[in-house]
Amino acid sequence: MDIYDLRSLSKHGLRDYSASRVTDLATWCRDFAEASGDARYFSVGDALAALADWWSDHDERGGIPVQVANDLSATITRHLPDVLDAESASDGAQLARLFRFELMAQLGNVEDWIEAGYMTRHKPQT
Amino acid sequence: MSPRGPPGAEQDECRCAGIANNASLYNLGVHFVGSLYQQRAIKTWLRDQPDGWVIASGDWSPFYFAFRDVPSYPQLFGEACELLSSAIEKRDGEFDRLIGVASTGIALTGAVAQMLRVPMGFTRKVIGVRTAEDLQKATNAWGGHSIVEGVMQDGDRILVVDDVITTFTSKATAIAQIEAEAQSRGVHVEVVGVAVVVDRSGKRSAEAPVPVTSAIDLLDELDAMRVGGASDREVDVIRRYLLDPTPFQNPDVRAAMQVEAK
Repeated sequence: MDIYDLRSLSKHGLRDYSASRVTDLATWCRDFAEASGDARYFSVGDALAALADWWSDHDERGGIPVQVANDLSATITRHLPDVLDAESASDGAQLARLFRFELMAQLGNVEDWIEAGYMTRHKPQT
Repeated sequence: MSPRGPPGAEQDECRCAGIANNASLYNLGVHFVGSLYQQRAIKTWLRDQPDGWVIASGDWSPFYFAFRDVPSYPQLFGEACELLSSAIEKRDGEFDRLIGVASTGIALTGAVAQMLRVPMGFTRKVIGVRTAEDLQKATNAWGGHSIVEGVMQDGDRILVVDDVITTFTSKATAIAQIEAEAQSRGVHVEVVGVAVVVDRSGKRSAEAPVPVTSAIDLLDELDAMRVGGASDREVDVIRRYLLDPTPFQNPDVRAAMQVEAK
């Protein structure tokens, strides 16, 4: 994993990415942040690690709704390029923080998916 | 329901009160699977989510098993616990302790351990750890923290309990957690198997490194979904998907299924 993989993710979203690849990318981001001192990569790595954890958590039960994956991809492609292209590390860190908040807010559960209209509600037996 | 035999089979000897005989277990299993569908704990692309689901490998899935809501419904949860207790009891003498996998497995294990009168513990969710390899890296990097709650005694034979199995990944992580915790406590334990309510692996759990016991093997018992109102089409698609998910990764196939559902 390297910056080219992160650029690819920022361009294409989760298309062609598994949770395992996202985890590897998160690890690379955090290592790079520590090596370079550029905090934006730490925020990005933190967000990607949370995404991979959450996605894997749902895996045994059948995954995440396609629309949720699409929404996550949209957030990634909308914000991550700006994070990476920021003029300075400090500007990038601010944008990365917003990216992290927005992405992590989308890591919901079945109830959130129902509220969003992505699933039908559990129907208690009568 | 072949693992438990047909209705009318001879009654098992059960050490815990309330666990039914084979015939009533068969009926309970049919009712349970039907209820899972009817109450939308089993969700399908055709009824619940036309676009389907994406699993962590990036592959598409036509159904979702929402067990996390089940403990909120006492009758359904009671059926799950009774079926799982009966499946586990067939392994009587093979284990000393149950360990539930965080998070849904913990509620199940608590109930089942009480029914069977066996001790239990549970794993803790470790942030950033998805696989046994991740756990090894985390342990190497950060040292030992308590990652399993509850007593473990030297020589314990442990049965790992969870709600569902699809791939073995999360169970392998739980087993690695238990082994790492035992090592840090200076005791030797052996994980003798995994027990789940629903096996949705399409028989691939038979290749797991430890024996997997399930109350319901979904591939064998899919027809029971019809009791809850599932259509022939849903049952057929899920059966074919469990046997081989590959054809369903074709975008044209998925697009046609989305149109069909909408």
